[in-house]
Amino acid sequence: MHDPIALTAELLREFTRQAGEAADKLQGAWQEPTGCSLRAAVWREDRAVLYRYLPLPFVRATTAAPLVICYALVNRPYVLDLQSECSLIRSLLAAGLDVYLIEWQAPMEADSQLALVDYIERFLGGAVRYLRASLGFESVNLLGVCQGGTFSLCYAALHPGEIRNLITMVTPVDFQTPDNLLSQWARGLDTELIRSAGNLSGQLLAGLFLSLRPFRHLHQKYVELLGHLADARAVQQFVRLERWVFDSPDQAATAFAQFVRWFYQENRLIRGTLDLGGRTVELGRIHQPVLNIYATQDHIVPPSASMPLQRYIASRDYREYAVETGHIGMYVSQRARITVPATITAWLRERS
Amino acid sequence: MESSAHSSPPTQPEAAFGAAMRRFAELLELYRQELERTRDPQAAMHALGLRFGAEIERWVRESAPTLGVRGFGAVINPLASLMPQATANAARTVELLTKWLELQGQLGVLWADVGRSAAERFTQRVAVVAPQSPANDVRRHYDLWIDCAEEAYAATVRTADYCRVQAELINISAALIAQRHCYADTLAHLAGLATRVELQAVQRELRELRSQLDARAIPRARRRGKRRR
Repeated sequence: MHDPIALTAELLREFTRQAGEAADKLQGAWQEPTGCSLRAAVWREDRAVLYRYLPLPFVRATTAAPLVICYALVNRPYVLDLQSECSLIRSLLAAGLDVYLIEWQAPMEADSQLALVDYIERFLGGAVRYLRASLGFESVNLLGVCQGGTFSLCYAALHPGEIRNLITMVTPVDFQTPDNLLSQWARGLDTELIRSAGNLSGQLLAGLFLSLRPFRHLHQKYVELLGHLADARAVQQFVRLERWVFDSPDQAATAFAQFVRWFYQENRLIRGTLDLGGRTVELGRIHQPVLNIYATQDHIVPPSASMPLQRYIASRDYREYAVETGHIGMYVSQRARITVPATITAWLRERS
Repeated sequence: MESSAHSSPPTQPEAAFGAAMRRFAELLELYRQELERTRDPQAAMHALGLRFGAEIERWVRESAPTLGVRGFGAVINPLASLMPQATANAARTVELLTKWLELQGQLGVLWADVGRSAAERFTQRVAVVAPQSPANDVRRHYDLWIDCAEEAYAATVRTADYCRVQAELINISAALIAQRHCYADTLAHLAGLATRVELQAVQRELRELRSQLDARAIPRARRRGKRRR
């Protein structure tokens, strides 16, 4: 039998070597590319850019309406296109879909007055209007992710005729369910004070998300990484994801304060009291087919926040799809990367 | 053995990684010392469990500055607001800073609760972990520590007390920043420069003009689209 003291000393040496190797790889995190698929900007409005992803070679395009992806303001959307074998966008392209993404640009200090109505009506709405006008489609398919899903619900409720099929992914609908920690933390915030302090730092936001499960996200995941150093692709994915986790953009003061107050504190979306640009957002006006995808172990948007959607919309064609993973796992886990794009493309195909 | 505490949040992956590695190295070193002292893996693991249970509160406390509202405090650095505002609105600034420090104290008490609760959970559960090999033992202890710390943390941060303290800290930090902006506007006005408020009004006007232009551009694009079809 080996001497346990010698084994432990060897373990320490090996740990030191692995930690050094992992540190070298992590140092390059900020040089990692953000996204792996080719795309071109086709429309711009203020702090929003609409990108079209170029079709993959040898893939037969479908004749379906374009699919517009609306991502959250609080993180960057390149997590949807992290690397070739871990890209929701690439999988959708491989199925022949015409994929567009609205990318929010981080606000500058002068943009602190950008409000939710700007993001939803002017930017998301502008992109939808541009596509309908330039491609000649009566309506488009809309995929809203996380907070972008909430925006998509608002837009679909305000302009039901413009959205053919609506897909929501890890999207909060009821913001006050008991297991929603972010909601509990947000209740006592003075949103007027927060707005008056100017744009919210993205660094703070990243810290806030990490502090939901600090010991796993700031300790354990790095120790786990040491066990996977031999797998170059897994390490690359980890490093790219790591960059994304720490890369939250600043938030426009007004929009952020409105989101906290109207959604987290007052739960206006499901109470039918949300007003955008002088019009009430009524979820009951959503009649189009809806696919609601959520993660069963989501600690940011718990399933209890996503699942109530069916109760508030009028769609007769409603389907839920639960993935056994967490919030970030929805973008990168083995299970999600296979099943989510397949579910979306099959669902859209049946309704095109 | 003391680990280095962090006075600011890890804002980059490398910093967070470095902190995690230091703590894991501490655990390995503890294990090695215990083995050397007792020469018996089972006894070493037991002793390690006890020592680790005692250490956990310190580990949890040391993580505090990297998290949540303490991270917020570090990001906005309210103390940096003190100098200019002291001349502008000293009483209000002092009042806010006093409250801020008081709340930091309350947060510290809540963190101590997390540490105590995590240590109790760890001590209870470590007794039933059977020894295997050094590599497995260290890792299993580490994972157990993480589980205990997360459970204790989750129980505390959902309490009304914690939510209140955290929200008040953020509100006070925001108030201090807003005061700083106000002071900067006063100076700008005195120097004959545009204030933030004035710049924001111009920005709003520019936006409205741009929207009007875009509203005219959309029908043109629609006509082009129809021609293509």
